[in-house]
Amino acid sequence: MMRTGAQLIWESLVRNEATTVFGYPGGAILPAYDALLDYPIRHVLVRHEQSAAHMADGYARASGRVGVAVATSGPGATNLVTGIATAMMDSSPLVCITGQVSSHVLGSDAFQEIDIVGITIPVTKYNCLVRRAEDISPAIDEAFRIAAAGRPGPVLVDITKDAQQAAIEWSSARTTPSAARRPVQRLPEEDIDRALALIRGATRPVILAGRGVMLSDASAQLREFAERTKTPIAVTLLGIGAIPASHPLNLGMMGMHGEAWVNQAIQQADLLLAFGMRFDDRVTGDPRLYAPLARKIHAELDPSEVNKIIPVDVALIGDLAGTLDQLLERVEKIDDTPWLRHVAQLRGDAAVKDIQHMPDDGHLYAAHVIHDISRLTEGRAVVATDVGQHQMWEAQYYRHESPRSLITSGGLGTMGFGFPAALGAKFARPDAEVWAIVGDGGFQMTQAELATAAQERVKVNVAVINNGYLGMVRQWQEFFYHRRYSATPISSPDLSTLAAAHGLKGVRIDTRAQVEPAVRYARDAKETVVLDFRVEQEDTVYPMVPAGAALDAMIRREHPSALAETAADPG
Amino acid sequence: MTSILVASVRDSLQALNRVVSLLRGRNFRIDSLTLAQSERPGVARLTVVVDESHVRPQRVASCLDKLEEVWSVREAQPTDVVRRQAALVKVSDSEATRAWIALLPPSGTVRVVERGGGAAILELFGSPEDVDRTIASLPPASVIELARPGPFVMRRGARETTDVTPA
Repeated sequence: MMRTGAQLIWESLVRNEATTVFGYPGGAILPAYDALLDYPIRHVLVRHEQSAAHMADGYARASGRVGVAVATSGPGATNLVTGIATAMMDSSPLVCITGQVSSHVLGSDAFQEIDIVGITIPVTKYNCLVRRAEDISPAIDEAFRIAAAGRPGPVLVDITKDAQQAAIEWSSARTTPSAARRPVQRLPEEDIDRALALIRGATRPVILAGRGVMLSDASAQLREFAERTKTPIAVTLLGIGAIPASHPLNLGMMGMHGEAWVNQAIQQADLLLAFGMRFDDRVTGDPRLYAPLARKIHAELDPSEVNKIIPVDVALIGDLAGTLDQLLERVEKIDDTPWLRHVAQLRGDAAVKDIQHMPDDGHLYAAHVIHDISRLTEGRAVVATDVGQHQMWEAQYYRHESPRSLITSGGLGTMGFGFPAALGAKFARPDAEVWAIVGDGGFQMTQAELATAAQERVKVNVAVINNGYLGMVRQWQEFFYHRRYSATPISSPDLSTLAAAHGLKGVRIDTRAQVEPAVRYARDAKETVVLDFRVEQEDTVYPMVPAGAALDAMIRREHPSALAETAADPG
Repeated sequence: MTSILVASVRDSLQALNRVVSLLRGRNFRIDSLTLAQSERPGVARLTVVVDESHVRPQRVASCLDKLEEVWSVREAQPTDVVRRQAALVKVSDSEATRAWIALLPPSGTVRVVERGGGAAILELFGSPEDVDRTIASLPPASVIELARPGPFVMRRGARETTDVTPA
């Protein structure tokens, strides 16, 4: 039967089980948008293409499915780049489809022509330019396969306008079925032997759990392994949710703003079991001073991550769930260890049991806000955050109970990510309670998507941790630039009025007593609600490992009585 | 110290673009990069000489291996490959170079391809070390121009150089 290239785009997306796409039309993608009306795909019209990529990313992270973003050529395509790079750094599967000028004017600096394939080479797993209608379906099938296969990532398919317009004889038999997402391969037994020898010889082991646990759906195996070997688990920012916050072996987040006892445990450990994490500099501090006493086992899918930052003793290259299954076949159950009691002691020294019952000193702290959101949602909401202080407070105070429930830009650290990612997550999991916890700086970067939320009638709750500063930058200026607050004070529009202008609801919260009613109000509302939390302006994220310092050289809060350093329950 | 990586890659400008982008973006230092058609249509052979003092060749190989357009990549072990390099050198026609040429052994690394117009063009072929030595031995200031692509290698025995399947 005859098909246009434009029709083949949507047929390919439907065949690859895409149901929702995030996009913005324009000249070079017009044929595709015309054909869109005839296909069972929900198109979400964004207000800026960057948000389309972030929404597709949030969709992917919340669900594990491939997120799809669509844009036109030129500025439409370049606006996607930040979102594509964000997905690349955090291994999020994305397929981006861009229109391109017609093939006969390629290379002539035509109107809205840009070499988006060239621009996105470093930030995609793969990309290609398609100039013929018959190449569209294979290219999109390939894009879905590559995006999801192995270590996931973004793929961009750039399709010329004439390829979209051309009509060709097409048979669905000419499509390539998607390959299995993860090839199951057993590791050589000698690798397992070497790992088990280290595990059996260790007395102070710590598991480092990263995003790979989520990507490999390995939470159950992680839990089983930790329980059987009585090994405490430290999580990376993107590893939050790998093990429930309430699990007694979950220590909490490691790294620059990790809990003090977590970093101390890592520095004192004699064995690190790195599961699906990549020793980012925000996790290690100075790599030369990192975990100096520990042997290291690195279970990782991507061989290029092994021995990149931290030399390891045993590398287990493969899909994490399979690796853990293989270890679990042979690992012995052990009982309580002195090390666990020691770690509990470290934790007990630093933690305050419950900040809920700390006296109200008249100030509203972000910690209280996030703790209350966590308490009222019982740690079961999907939370997307932006980047900065609120992101770290969220990581410290929101007690995530399930995998894929924290959606945050870790590697690239993209401000403006949180709100559109939350919207994308809601499309992926319409039955989930979705929150965006954002700062006043980041929210203003993509707050235009309030209009998208209103138009699409999609409900998320937005908690703006509004301190009138670009808070994390201000914090660095406070510590390292003599409190010279250059370009960090930032004003915001009245967010309640802004929400109302979009036909949504907004509430301003100034006191601790107002937090719980406001959270309840937002949860009960049918539409998207913006909660404007006016928090302490010059609050600081503690503890903090200065960039390039040893992991246990933390800056600590001077007056612990003012606010708990962390809310985590010592158990 | 250098190490030589050999890869089978898709024969396209896009593949070259991705490889170069990766090397540049990851700040990997290389001495040379050669891409040319292989014995199979659609497959190009990529040879990269990596500066080992700056980056582990295994890391470069594992990063290259992640590219969709790279089908196979292997580090050539000095003992299991034949290494060769070619070069063209244009030298000025002087007393010193004529004396240097006169002393060339009849079947060696160097052949005089052309003389005239105040210059001679020499063809060099041998191990990279042979080529280095020959160039270093030329009379001072005699070199007008040097055209020297990177070295290339071939594995001894019947297996292909980029064959990474376990023996």
